[in-house]
Amino acid sequence: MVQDGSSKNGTPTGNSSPHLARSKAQDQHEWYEEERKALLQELETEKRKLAAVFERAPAFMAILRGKNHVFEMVNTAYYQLVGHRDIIGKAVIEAIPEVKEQGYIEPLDTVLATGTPFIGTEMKIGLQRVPNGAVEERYVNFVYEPLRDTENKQIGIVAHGYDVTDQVVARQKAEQLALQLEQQARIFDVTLTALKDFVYTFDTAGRFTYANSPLLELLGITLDEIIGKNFHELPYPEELATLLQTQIALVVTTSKTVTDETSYTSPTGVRGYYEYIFVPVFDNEKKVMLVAGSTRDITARKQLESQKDEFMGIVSHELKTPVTSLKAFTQVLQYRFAQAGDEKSAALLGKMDVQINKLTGLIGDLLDVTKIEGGKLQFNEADFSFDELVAEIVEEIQRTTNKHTIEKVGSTNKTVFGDKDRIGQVISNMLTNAIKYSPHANKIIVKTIADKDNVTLCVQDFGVGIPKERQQQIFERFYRVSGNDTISGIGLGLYISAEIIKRQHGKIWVESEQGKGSTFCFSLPVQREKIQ
Amino acid sequence: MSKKKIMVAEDDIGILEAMQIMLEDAGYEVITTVDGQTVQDVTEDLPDVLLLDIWMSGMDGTEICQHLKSQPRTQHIPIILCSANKDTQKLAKECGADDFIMKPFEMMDFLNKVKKYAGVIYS
Repeated sequence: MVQDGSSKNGTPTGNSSPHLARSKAQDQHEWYEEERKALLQELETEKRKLAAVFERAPAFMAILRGKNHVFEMVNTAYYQLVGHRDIIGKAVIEAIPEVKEQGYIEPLDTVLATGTPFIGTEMKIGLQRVPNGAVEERYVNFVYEPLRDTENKQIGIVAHGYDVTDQVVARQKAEQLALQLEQQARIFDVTLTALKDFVYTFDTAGRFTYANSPLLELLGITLDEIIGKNFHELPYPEELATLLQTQIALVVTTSKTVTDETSYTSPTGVRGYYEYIFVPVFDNEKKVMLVAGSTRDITARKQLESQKDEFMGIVSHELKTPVTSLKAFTQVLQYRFAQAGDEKSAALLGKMDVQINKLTGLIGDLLDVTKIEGGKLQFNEADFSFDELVAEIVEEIQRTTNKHTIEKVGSTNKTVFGDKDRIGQVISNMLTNAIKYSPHANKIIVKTIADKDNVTLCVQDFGVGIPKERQQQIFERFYRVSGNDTISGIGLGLYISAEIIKRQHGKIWVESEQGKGSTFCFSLPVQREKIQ
Repeated sequence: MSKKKIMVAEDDIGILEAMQIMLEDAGYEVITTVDGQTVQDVTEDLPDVLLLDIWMSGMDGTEICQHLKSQPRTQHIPIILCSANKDTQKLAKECGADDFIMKPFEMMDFLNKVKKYAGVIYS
């Protein structure tokens, strides 16, 4: 336009012709025009590039303008943070109303007023990211920076930052876990201290890595003093130290638990009897990483046990004394009545004698149980003919019953090495049980078989039977087939039998069907020494 | 002909009396004592068989047995050790007794055992 005007005025410019001048101005104009277009295009490209960068930045960004902080521009990350909603052209309070009073608006005002940037670190923000959804808690690191005009006056704010929720939550979790762990360790430690038992751990080389205070007190040393030491380096007698170290090594190599008992006298002279257990602790690869153990003072229990054993021994001996004379007098009387021809009275006294024998049996059982419990059941072992023993016992028991016929099947032709009396006691117990628990049957079958190394004896009755779930229990102490109160017996017999067979290196078992009867069996190695 | 003489050393009066009746009914002459020391010191009037309880008041029957078996004057006397103890057999063997009987006992077993060592009732 300027050039146009000057050309209309016709002012000649130098010696150039007006045509020439005009075309020069025109050229220049076109050139400028093209230049401007190119620049504008370049600017547009740059702007787009910038917008793309802004858009794709991993950080969230928002440009807010004016004192109401109106959203002018936000990027994808920002939408991801606050949720996709219509916010452009709206004031912050209006666009994201839930942030009111969360401490995000005031800093905006301050930055706008002062021009000083605001930095927020791991600030919590509650955002309703889905319309009508619940307010979600997020954590953000961000900066509010002032946006200035050409006169350097704050006209808006650039807010940018990162959503650090995942990191914060993870860290909080870790912190919480650490706290819990510490608390647990404390609880653990206090609990172990309150315990009377000794609790401790060893590394795989058998050195202490922990011991609770009761053990430390007994040994009269501190935790620092015990850690890293093995039993040889602590106040333990050489023999015991060697045993304990061997047992720890065994746990490490076999991954199996070791339990044992020992007596021990502490450096201060405390004498006691202790039972202990060493257990393996495995790492993630199922390898033994350490050995944990606990020790219990069982001195009082041992004393009581031995007192009980002694007491029971005396009691059963004392009981046997009057029973002996009672039986003797009964038999004298029975004999005298028989001599005088009073068979009825003699028979009555015979019945009395049978009852006395039962009483004697019970006293014997009581004594046996006491011996088993005290680990004092003795065996007098020798070679004996198994078939002869079976015949002897069958004959003896047959004499006690008129109702049942004991049928003998098979033979073993074996000489067995073991305690004949005790094994006889087992057979006798099985037969009396068979009679006792088959009151409506009249047959009992005793079957014996042998293979190269073992003899097996089975006693089959056709009586009440034992339900499957109880078949294991019956070899336990004081168990009795219940639901049949008319049958006597305190159930010590099978417990004693099981113990005898176990100690004679045999096996005992039962097969039974309720209502149809039971078959009790045991098998014994013929010549133990030779097999071993 | 005099009757065979059986000495019963037993500290329980009931058992002592019952044994005495059984033996007397069977035709033996019976001497009884509840005192272990009496048995240990027996020199005169020796019995043909001695029935000896293990738990004598204040004395151990097996020791008495060992003592008698060590003395020339008494070592020939058959001794039957009596006890309620299940290990009676073992104890009898250890102290040199000739036999044992477990309490309570069957009368016939008891009499048969005595007969075995006393021989016939009259000598």
